[in-house]
Amino acid sequence: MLCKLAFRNVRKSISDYTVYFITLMFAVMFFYAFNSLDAQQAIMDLNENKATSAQVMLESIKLFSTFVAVALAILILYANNFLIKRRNKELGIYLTLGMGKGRVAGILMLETLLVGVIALVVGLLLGVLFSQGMSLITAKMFEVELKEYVFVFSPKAAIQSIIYFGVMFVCVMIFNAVRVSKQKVIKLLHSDVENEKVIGKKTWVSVLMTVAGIVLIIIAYYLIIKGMLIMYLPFVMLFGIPGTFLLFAGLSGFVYKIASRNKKKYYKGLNLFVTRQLTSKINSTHTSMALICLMLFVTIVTLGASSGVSAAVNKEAGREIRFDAEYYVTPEEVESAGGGAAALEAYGIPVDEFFKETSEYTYYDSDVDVLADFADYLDVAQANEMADNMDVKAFAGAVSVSQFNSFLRLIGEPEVRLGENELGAVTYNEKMAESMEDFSKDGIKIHSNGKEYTLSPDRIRVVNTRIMGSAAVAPMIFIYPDADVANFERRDVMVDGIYIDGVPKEETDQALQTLQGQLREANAERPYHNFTTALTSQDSSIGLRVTISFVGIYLGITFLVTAAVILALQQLSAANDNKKRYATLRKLGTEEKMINRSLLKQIAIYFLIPLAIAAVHAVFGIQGLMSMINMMWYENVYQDVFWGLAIIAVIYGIYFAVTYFSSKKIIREQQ
Amino acid sequence: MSIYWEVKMETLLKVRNVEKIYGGKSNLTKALDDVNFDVGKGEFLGIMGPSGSGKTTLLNCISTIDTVTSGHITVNDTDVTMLKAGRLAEFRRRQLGFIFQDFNLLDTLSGYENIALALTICGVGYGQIKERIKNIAQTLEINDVLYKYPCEMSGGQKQRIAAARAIITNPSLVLADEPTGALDSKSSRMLLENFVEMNKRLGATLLMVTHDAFAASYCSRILFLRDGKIFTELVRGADSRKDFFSKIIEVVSLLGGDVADAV
Repeated sequence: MLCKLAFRNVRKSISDYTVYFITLMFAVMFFYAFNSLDAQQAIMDLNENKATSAQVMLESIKLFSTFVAVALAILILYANNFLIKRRNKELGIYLTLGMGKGRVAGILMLETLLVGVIALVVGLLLGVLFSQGMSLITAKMFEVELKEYVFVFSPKAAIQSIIYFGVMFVCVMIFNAVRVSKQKVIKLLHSDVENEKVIGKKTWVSVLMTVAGIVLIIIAYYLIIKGMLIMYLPFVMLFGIPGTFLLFAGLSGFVYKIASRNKKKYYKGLNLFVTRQLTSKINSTHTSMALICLMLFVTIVTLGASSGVSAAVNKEAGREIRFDAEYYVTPEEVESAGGGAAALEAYGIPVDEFFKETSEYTYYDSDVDVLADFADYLDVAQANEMADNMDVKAFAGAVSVSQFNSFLRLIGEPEVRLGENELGAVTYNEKMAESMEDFSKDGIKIHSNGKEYTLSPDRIRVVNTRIMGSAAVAPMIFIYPDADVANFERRDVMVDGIYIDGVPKEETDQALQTLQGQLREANAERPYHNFTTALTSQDSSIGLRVTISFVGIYLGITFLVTAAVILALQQLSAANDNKKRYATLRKLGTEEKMINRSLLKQIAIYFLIPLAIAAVHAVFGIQGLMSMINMMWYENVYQDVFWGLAIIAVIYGIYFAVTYFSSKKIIREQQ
Repeated sequence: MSIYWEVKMETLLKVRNVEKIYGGKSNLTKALDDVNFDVGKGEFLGIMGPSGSGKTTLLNCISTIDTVTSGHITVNDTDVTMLKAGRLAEFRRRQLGFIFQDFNLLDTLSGYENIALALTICGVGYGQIKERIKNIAQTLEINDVLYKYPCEMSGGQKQRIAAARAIITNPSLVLADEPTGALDSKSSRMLLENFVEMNKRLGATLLMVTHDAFAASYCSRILFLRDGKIFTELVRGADSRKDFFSKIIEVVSLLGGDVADAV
């Protein structure tokens, strides 16, 4: 009997359950798909390097899954709450008919269970389907072919999803049961009449709060622009978060003040109704709106920045490296063996067997402070401040011209000829090279080594000198006449080589690494402290890119959907309260067109406000993050950020449309 | 005694052979059964009757919220039973003013804004809105509640704001459905005096559905409905309100039912 009633209830209120059901289903699908990545990568032909980076990705996804589960749990509770509210009256009627509270709670629990089980099953099915597509994408991102098409199913992820969501459903069931047993019948029966509104604070208090909020936010922005994000982050948060909450707390009064300023406009059509509805809604939900705004901000930054960072990593990997392997040999070893290659030979690496050609040069720290001397020419926001206030010094590198020419010959770059008191320069970044050209055209001299040097534009080279990544080396290296480097401190001797012809590079690479592994086991004392090959670096950068993208998408979309669903539910429950208001408007003779337009306006503005504020926040947040990234990589990745933002626009837009059409349906119900 | 208005006054509302039938073939309920009457311009007409007599159905049909099964209702030469759905909103906006038992004020709007809304929907400019609200507020003595929100007002204040909203657009006909139903006696009296004021001073035509004999005694004429038919009619004429009230009570006791209980 109870079962029958529960079953019929779900079928009857299917439209009410839609939002709840879709949310649940989506949550399960998403959760399963990301947690089944291990099964997905198992079917891929990953080499050792890629397998390692895939492992890193899996670990990070697992770590973030807990966050995602918590966010989803909160979301499900919220959606459930909305559903119960809408059915209060029905529950009240059961109680007046003499059904015990236990039985009513039982019906509700059964309903929750029913919807939960269906959502879980459908969600899992969709998740399995979705993960098939995802494994194609994963394979593509790892730049590998699928061995052959295999249907992927991860029992582990399925069980994990069932356990996580099962626990959530149990929580929801208990929550509902407690809720019903604590409610008074009269409250339940009259829940749809209860619509007294708390009148907001005085308008000037609101305006003051908004202005204070804006000031705090501007301070936070200023800190981001002026300082290094990473150092000021606690302060940025200290100002930015309370600022956002204050802004929303005062927003209703502020909006009213602005909207009612122009009386002619305010008293036109339904404008005053729309304004009042919006402001009262904002007034009663400002805390959750501020939270949603911050959540959207995190979403935009994670999605935006993750596409930015992965693009940066991608560009980094796509750098043109014209040699295959590099060793950082310790200067002492070079001295005792009489050369870098000789030191490697002495260790047991037959250099000629692997390399067609090698070059070596010593890398020194110069005494030129890049930040202080070049600050005006660099496109790094914080360079000036760092140099002036923080006493941060970044010395340029130094190499001797004859040694470095051997490297330039290796990679087929024209050699550099220097006269007395002349310097050459090497950088890996076009933009940096341009800045240096400007610098040299302005005729500014470089003071170093107790001498004055000139830098002429034709002695500037743009090449990648390291495989390890541009971040491993100073942003600029000066080429000194041979005699002038003597006073500088030696860092490393760089031994770079190109693999022999005739054998595929992958084979040489593998053989070399195997040999070095064996040598290391026999003798831990290596003459070099670092060894990288171009192929390894590519593989690991792919892994890093996939990890960043996946974690970004996983977290970003979860947050985004959570924020959008909460907004949607708030509007839908408002549409419920609004039914009566719109009925009054109709009796007053308002055209249906006008009513729809006012509803659209309300929902659009309600959705746009947190998004707009989050977007402005994100412009600065991403700016801060990117300038950090750009400082490391010196690559412009701004346009890639927009791809992340496009995803947000689409998902948010879908929720907005669904909200509008369901609200419209709800306010028409009484007709 | 005639149901039709015979004096020199212009006829505003004509109700002719109106029938409203609910239910299917097997189970017919005639909520309204061949109802005929006229309302002249400037009249204050009351409609009384026990529960289920069809008062509210009649009001809903006149106000275009409900449709008749057969018959015609004409307001100012517009046959509302023939109006297309698209024209209904405009008709309500231009010709009718509503006052409900549960006030139906918008709770997010102040009193002033609630009144103004009726005008902004009609496209009246702000200058006019200000002027008209000022006048009506004086007439109905609601100046002190204009800037309050509905939740801060008493029932009587709410209903007077609602009355102001109903009349501000200068409608041809103001329809009031049990306006005193949720009010205490003092507020009721004040509201009814306002109605008389609206009727006499502003020349509004009022049609009030009520089952409260006291409220009805403020009307100039009363139609009594029973089982969907007009049972009888009372015209106040030169009677004092007290005498009129006694006459109403007589009819009510004849009618029986819950109207008698309400006295």
